[in-house]
Amino acid sequence: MKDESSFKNLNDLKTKIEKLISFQEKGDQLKPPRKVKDENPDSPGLLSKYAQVLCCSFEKVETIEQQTIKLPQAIPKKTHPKKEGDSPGRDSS
Amino acid sequence: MKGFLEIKEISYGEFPEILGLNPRFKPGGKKVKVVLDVQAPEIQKGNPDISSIFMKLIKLLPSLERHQCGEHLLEDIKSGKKGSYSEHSEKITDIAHIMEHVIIDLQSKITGMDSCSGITCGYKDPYFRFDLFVECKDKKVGMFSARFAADLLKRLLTNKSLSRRYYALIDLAQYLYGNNSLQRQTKIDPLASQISLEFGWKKRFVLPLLRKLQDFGFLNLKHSIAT
Repeated sequence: MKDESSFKNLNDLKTKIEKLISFQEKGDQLKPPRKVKDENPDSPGLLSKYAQVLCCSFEKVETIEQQTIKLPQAIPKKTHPKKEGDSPGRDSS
Repeated sequence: MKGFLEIKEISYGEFPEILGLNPRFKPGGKKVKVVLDVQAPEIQKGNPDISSIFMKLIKLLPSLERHQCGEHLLEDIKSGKKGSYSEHSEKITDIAHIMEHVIIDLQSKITGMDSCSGITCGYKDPYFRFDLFVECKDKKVGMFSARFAADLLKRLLTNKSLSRRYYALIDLAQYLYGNNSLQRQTKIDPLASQISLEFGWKKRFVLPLLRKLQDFGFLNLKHSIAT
């Protein structure tokens, strides 16, 4: 759930950034080079060899068709002793 | 460099030093690392642009369209913003980045991974070199996906189309991944016969596919070159 909401926020942010970029591009034919996103605090200096880092990911989004609904195991029916006079046609077991 | 892409090195491991570079990386998860040199075709009439390459890839791997991309690469390609390039360096970066997406997609398709993240790191020097890191569930599948992705892109960058074999190769890798006993098979002929029966393909269609899987490190077949 947390992931979904963060993606939602991300998408909103993406739309805003796209608008800003398209606005910027109108008057800016020479794009600045894409820069390294951030420095890794665990290993500072790692990124010194990189000019840029681009991230991406893929998350499987299950569609309704792909979802498999697991039904609970069928509960075995209680067997009732047949009463005398019950017709065979009404036996639902 | 042979063609427009050359894999300089492939390795497999945790690479904890790059964990912070993509917030979606799972801590402790293994990754495949590909060191890649890219050369873009000249921007001239008749050479493929990134949009046409991507459209061909989507036919082969439709789920590529659903990837999340921090750089809006895929959205820009689809909307036509990436049709032409002002900068050579931007073009080679996009080619490396698309290769990362292809590796992610191939792995997800073959192994059924629910999520897979990666990064494309462009070197300062040489400017045409990239380190790709992609989460990887199975070393063999990661290695295969990297080599297959490079093969695919090399083909598309020279304006060639993707034959039926490329589609079949993915189906076959997926099928073999889910079948351990067939994966352990080391003799090409009985394996080809079995696949031929299973898929209804002619054996002479299956044999080159198996050799390709062998070349890409997915299978370990003995005497595979004979026939």
